Amino acid sequence: MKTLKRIWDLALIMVAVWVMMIALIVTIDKMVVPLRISAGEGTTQTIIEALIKLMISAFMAMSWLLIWVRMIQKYIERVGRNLRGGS
Amino acid sequence: MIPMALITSFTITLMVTPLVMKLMRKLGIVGIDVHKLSRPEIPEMCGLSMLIGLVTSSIILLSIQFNPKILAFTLTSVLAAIIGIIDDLFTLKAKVKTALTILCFTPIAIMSMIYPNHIILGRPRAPLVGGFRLTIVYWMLLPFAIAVPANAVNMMDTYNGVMSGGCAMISASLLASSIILGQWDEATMSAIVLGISSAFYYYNKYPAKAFAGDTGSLMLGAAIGSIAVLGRMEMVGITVLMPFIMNAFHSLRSIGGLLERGEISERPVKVVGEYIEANLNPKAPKTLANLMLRKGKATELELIKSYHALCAVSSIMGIITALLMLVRI
Repeated sequence: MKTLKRIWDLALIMVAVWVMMIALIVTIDKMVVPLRISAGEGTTQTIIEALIKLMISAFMAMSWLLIWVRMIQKYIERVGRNLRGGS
Repeated sequence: MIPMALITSFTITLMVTPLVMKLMRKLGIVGIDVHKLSRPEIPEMCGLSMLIGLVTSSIILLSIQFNPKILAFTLTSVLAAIIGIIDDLFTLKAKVKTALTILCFTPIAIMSMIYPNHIILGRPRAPLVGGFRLTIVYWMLLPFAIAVPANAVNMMDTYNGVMSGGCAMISASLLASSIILGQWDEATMSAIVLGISSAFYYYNKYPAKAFAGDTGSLMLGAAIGSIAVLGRMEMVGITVLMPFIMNAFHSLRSIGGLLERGEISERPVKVVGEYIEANLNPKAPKTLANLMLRKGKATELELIKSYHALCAVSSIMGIITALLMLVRI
């Protein structure tokens, strides 16, 4: 029980991060990859389009990491508050 | 092949570890178990036995039937182990060690060029969407696919049996995932990793009689990374390694990057009698131990159980990820 109590919040964060990771992949595959930004078919336009898609995907991945960091910060704040409240 | 790989690697590691322990003690390669009151001296670098177990099992398998994937997996693991041996003997700077592990992807890259029909890179599979094609981005990320697991596993080797026990659970999950996805070569490799890590756990579990050293931890991390890359199971790899990545990512973020042990002013935990407490100083690295102990002090054994419980959760999530890879929306 002690072990479960100790890991419960962190395990929930881990599951949430995992669910968000899958959601991120599905979103990139279903929404970012099919994006058609320009009507042209030249090599330059294809490269620009690929770069824009890459930047959008990278931005989404960075947001996912930031949410993960924020969750851990929230956990530290909450556990700290509980400790102060208990003492 | 899978039962043979498991039995061979387990038996060899189980038999060789006591010999390596004796040798390391004789050579004076010992480390102090700082989380025990008596601070016992434990033989270091015993991960060498896991290297012997992995290489011997792979040679036996390769002599029965040549397989480029198993050769790439073995060479990657050996390269990481060599970096670990150098680090154990001469203590490399943190940044140098990390930079060297980045090179561990080279056997996989070279083998994929020699055997393009066997080793397919750049086409990872993902849950719910199936396979997708990455060209330039994949090759940019590939070096980190081995370096990140190798260093993350290395950073988790802080308490008795946490690294070896965690890797045993992860490799069991990779074995199950490989079977689910019909990746039989990767299942054989996972069986090898499961065999060596569970046999070593017998000696490394609380109270530890042997320490793996960087030789063992870097090698196990690289082996797990290479299984994920070779089997196009990168997503399963990230999922099963989540406690390890969480430990490395948050501790590195909290101290501001790769630093030498001497450059870190605060330790993540404090040992008070038989208990371990979280160091609440804002400068202390936010390792998993630091985060878990913020809920209250624990004995070393209680802390180890908590680590293993998190690894069990991520291992189950890994199997679910593999199952979701069979589904397309």
